[in-house]
Amino acid sequence: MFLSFVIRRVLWLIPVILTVSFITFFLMHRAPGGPWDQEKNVAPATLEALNAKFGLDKPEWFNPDEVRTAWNHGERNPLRLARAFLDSQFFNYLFNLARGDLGPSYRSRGSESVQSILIRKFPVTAKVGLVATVFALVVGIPLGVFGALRQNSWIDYLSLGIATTGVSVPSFIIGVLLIIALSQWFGVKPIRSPEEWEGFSTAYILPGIVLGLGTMSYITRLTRSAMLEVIRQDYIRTARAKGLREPTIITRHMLRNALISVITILGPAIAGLVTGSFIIESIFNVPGMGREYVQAIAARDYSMIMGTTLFYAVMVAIANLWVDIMYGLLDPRIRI
Amino acid sequence: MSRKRVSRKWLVWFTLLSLFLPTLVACGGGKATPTPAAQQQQASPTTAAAQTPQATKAASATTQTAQGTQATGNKILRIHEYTYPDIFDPQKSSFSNEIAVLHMNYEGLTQLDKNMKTVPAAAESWEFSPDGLTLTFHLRAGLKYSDGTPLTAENFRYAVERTCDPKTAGEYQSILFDIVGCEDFASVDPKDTQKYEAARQKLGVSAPDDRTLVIKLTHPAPYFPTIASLWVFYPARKELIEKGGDNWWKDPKLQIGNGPFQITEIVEDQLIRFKANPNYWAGRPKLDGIDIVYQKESSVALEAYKAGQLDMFSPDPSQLPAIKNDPELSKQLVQYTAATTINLSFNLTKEPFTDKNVRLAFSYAFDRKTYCEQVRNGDCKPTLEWIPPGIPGNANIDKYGFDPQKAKQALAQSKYGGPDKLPPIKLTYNSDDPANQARMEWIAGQFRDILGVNITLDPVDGKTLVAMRKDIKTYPQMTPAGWIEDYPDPQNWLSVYWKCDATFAQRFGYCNKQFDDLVTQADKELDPNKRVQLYQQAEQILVDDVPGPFLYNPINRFLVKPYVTGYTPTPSDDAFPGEFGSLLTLDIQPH
Repeated sequence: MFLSFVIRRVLWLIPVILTVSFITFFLMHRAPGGPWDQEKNVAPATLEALNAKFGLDKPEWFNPDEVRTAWNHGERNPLRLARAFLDSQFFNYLFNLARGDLGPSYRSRGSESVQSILIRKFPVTAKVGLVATVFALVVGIPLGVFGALRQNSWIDYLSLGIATTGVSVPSFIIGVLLIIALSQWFGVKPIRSPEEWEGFSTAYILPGIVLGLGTMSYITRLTRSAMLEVIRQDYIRTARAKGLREPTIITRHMLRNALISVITILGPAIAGLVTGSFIIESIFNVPGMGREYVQAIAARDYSMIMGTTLFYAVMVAIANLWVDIMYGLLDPRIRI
Repeated sequence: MSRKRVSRKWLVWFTLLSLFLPTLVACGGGKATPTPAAQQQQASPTTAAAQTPQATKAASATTQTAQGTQATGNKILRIHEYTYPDIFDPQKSSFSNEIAVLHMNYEGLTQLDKNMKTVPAAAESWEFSPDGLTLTFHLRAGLKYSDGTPLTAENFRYAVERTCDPKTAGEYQSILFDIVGCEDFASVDPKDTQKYEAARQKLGVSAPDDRTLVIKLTHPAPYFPTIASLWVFYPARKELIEKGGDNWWKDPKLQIGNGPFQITEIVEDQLIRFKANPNYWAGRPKLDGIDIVYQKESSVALEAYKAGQLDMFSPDPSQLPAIKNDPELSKQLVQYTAATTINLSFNLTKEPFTDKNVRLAFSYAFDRKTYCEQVRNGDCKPTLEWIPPGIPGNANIDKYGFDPQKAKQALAQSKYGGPDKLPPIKLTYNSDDPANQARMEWIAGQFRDILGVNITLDPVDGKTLVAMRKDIKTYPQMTPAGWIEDYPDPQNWLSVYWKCDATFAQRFGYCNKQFDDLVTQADKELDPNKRVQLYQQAEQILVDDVPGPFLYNPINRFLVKPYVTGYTPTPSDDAFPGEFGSLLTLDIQPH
């Protein structure tokens, strides 16, 4: 039962990928300009050669001209003709995608493929994202719990204050302020040396915390409001009347029910955290993939835009699958 | 019943653990991370063979270190750059941050000195044939690459061939279209082997012996020795490029150069490290090495400069007021104009800018001084002409500057008779830089206050603007534009941009036969003095046509630590002061 559920959900990824590819491809080609456009003039011959080299001279969707040429050359095999009809930028991308090839990155003139860039950079980004996730949970949940247990006390105000600040102050301000403060008071070097990103060093702590701040605040507020709702439930009174010890009541009866709403947002949140952030990576010199999203769009690096978007879509899908499994475990009423 | 409860409890613990498990694994060290080592080894098989375990570990974090080439000295100059280069392959690069890297590692046949003069580099002399169509370079004796391999004319011939090759298709290909057969070669379909080979053979470049390179030109081009200093001429080695494939330039062991410095380490998005090249023909530079450190955020970079992590840093205009008010930092600020001109470009085929009087009115109405000093925090210097001061051809023109009275007059004299009958005007600008909005609002406000014209602001993203500018139909009515020089020769400023058949002039519809005749004549003139005079005359005509008010030359601004010595700033600098002409003399004093 469980296994078939997982398999079904994984198979659902295929239409998701197709739809995301289609929409992304359609939108990015509507944006004016192409990967080779720049201020200075590029000779028409050069442009033609570049487009031919990377298959950008083909039509976007379908290629009837190619069918005509093949037909005139005496090609009658319907499969070959169909392939000629689909010899377009979009379908060639899909065919390559099916083979696990996300295409060359145009920003480096095709010297590296998108998948190898993602494979190389994702581990670093994921490590920052994990620090952020752990920080968000380990700080966010207790803050929310204590805030709710002592409603309107100083702890509550503190937790609300932190949560509001975390949500409303942009991460680049907090990030830069932290760097300046650490540099001036503790002599921490503002620019990390490249070796520090190998393995798992303290260099990951700062960007992780700043990245996780927004999610942490969100989790704090969600936990607090969910807890406040649960606290007033009859079964909590029953538990107390039964004479259960307070810690047991809090963890087994309150938190477990309150966590349902946290789990709901956790899926997309984790997917967002482990795929990185342009701002955090720029400020902290993190050699991750978060920068690729923004840079690819600005550079009209088509295959990188497709690659990062699909990667993100798959991450969200996986995270949501994990959330659904968690639901079933936390709440017996939800069956998967 | 009870059994089920137990298993559920365990499941909860298991799921909670599943949250933290990845973290625990990641904490276990770098081993948990998939490494791209295999893929990189594929790119350079020899690298893998020679690697010690330690080197492999370095490769896993995209670090590639040339063995035994680590700079040993302690005079390392640390330069800040904002953006990591997309590609630093001499024949494919086009952006200044890419060229900054290549320029240290390689050297062309000629080079630019501190005074922007073209002087011998790998070539000790050169001469044109009497008809000006053949250019012969004579290389120095005993030239070597940094690894000791001899450097011959064949290496330079290959650089030219590779630039013109349609398989390379570098964005700066067209800069060599003055060479016989280069454009034809570039236009050929590389899949058609026969035609490709024929076009390759016809290319007008040859190396009759190790020290002679002969270039055949389509027309006399007295500026060509200057082009021979550019990155497309950098002699990257054929056998190393072929060994590394498309990825070759990422490997320091394949980027063996002939410049004053040699790349030793490349860490993507973070750092590129150079050491002094002892085999450089003019002797070893004074510095032991250079680190280019990449950091996108100006506030973090400024903090790093203050903390002593950087020796040279180019502040953002928004940081200038604070720096100028700081007693320490203000003394370390080095400022000088750059070889770039910004103008307010009009589409000359769209109303109302078809009328010269309207253009004149806008030129008179622009207070360049206030704009540079107050709106841009002093990061630019007003100008009223196209060629910047210090570049040959600059005619020191003082016409059509800020004068509200004359502005109103000019508008009244236009066929519209005043602001009321003007068609709607849109100011299109690049919104990638958030600071632009306030600047454009100020400009529109000026035109409203002085001319009584209402201007609509039209922010678009950088690539969109570039695409709009490609076609005269979509070229904006009014947009800030400009020119960053490729080489300090008036031909690059006037002929490449403003001639009737120039791609740029065609985009906004500028064409003046008289101007064309003058620059065409100047482009072929072999007498340098006569040549500059012709360009100056052409510059006068250009200014009088008011094709789009010339506004300012941006100012290069750098913070330089007081212990850095031996550099002379030049207008061509982009990455750091002394980038051109000072690489050998740059030094760090004990501190």
